[in-house]
Amino acid sequence: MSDRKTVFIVDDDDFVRTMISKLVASFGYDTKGARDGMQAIEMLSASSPPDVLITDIVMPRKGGLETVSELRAKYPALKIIAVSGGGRSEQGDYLELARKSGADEIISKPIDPSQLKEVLKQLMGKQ
Amino acid sequence: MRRHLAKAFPDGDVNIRTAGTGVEGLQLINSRSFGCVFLDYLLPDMNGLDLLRSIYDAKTDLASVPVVMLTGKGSESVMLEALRWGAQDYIVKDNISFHSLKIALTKAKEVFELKRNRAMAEEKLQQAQKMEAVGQLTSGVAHDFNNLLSVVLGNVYLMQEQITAPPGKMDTNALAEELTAIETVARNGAELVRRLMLFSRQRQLASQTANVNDCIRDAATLLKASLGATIEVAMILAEGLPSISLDVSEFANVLINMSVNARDAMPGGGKLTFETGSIVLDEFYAAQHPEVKAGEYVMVAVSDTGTGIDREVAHRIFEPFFTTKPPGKGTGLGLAMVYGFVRQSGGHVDVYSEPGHGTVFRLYLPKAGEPDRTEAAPVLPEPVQPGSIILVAENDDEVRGTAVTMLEKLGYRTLQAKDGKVALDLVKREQAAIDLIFTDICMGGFDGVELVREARALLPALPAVFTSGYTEHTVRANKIAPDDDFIGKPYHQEALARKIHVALGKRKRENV
Repeated sequence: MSDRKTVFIVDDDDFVRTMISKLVASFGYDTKGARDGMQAIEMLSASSPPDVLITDIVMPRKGGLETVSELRAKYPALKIIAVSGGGRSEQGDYLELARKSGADEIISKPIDPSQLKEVLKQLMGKQ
Repeated sequence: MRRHLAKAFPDGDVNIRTAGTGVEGLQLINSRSFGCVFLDYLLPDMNGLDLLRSIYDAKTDLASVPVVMLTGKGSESVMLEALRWGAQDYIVKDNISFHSLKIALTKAKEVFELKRNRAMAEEKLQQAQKMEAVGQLTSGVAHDFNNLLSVVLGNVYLMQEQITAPPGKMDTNALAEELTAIETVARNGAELVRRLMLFSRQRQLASQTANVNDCIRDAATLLKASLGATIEVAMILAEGLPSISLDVSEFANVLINMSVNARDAMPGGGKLTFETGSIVLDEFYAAQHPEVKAGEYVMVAVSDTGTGIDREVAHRIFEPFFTTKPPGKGTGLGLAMVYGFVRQSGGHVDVYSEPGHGTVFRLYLPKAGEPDRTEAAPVLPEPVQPGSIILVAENDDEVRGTAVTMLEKLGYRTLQAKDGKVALDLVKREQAAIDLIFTDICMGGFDGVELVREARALLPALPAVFTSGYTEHTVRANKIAPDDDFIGKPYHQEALARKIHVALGKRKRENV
């Protein structure tokens, strides 16, 4: 049985999701992906949870903030990274809100690959 | 003339230049700036109105200089035309005196300055409104750009990893893929900039012939990220629309303004729908809306599923500075700008709303080119059974009145009801005497769909035609069945005649 860690990537932009998957694979992790929070939650309940989940905030159907709260309640051990290209709602900055909703780390877009590598390494080490 | 002027301004601060023909006059006017031009109607080579028209600027509604027209006695039509084409005043030649000249000159200069200043202020305001609308897009566009940059940075990272790999381990296929990804997103970025420029462009001098659907697609792409993820954007765009003449940049801003309003009306999320179609606004509609000329229009509907607007607010919604938003949240200029744009394009805008359900804004933009006045009046189909009785259920008195007039002109008889309950009572009382129900769908409380259902419990084959201020797409998705007859508001007589004709025909077939 492989002991490779798995990273689950949720982003509605196909280019971004594919790019993050490739990056994460180049760091030596297995990857899975979903287009929005709804699809992610469905896929997660059908298989064993990943080690880390990377999610965008602004997505159709189910956005990142809601997804983070739901997953945090359901999978307390799951490490979550929220990424966003900026923007804010009435309640405040998206990334700060994501942290409040239960994200372990936040990364703003454009994603710096070295930063992502470092954050993933740290989160995997904590487990 | 010259003598009178010299007498009116004896101290010599007025420099007088004269021209004996229209051509000479035009050359002079174009060669230097004048405080005022006294323009005779009768010139040897052209008339004064022609000259005036050639220096008239429609945007400011002014000629390039202050103008006082000189006319003969009894030339009221010339005077009116002169004022229409940018002159500030006129003097009847028989009445020329140094007094009248002095007054006319001072007044013309004053009026000209005031009007020009107002035009400049309006242009600045318009530019400010445009920038406000563009500001609404900033966070969305930044989000899209950060995504593009993420893809570029990610792929550059992967390529760097590749080229530092030991010789022979370099995966050239992967490199090619990464390059393609960078190229694609860079092109997407260029497209994003092109769209953004469309919105922020300074005012254009002339309108251009444009494809409304393309404008909507561009706007919707840019808006998607700004509207937030909870708002779904849908487009139902009719193919083969006639081309219309408009300022594309202004139109794009109109679309942003309406979308931002829609977004604010849907704090919990919802659906924003852009819909286009060709429509004829006929003389019945024009009679109700004095600013509308009957003719062919392109209709652009922007609907939301938000909180809706009550009647009181709907009446004031296009007034400048009218806003229901808290201070600091809205200037109240957005919809005033929409109204201004539509009027300048020779079009018309209306709003239909049901509190709690949503709002539809419809813009009617006139088809490009001169209307074909020789077009024959549409041939109305003969009613299937002249004298058939149609029950008209509609809560808006004006709309019901128009419907009744149209139907009676077509040879039908009518019964009227101002809501669903009254209509149902009529059905119960008259029973078989009613041949068809023509009903609005939303009438507050007991609606048209319920009315028809209850009426058909009594009279199963009773034909019905539904109507609504909502777009057909919305109504079919939520309210009525695919085979129900429906006509969207505003309808014109010919279309109504056809619908009623078809619906009555259905019953005839069923009865056979």
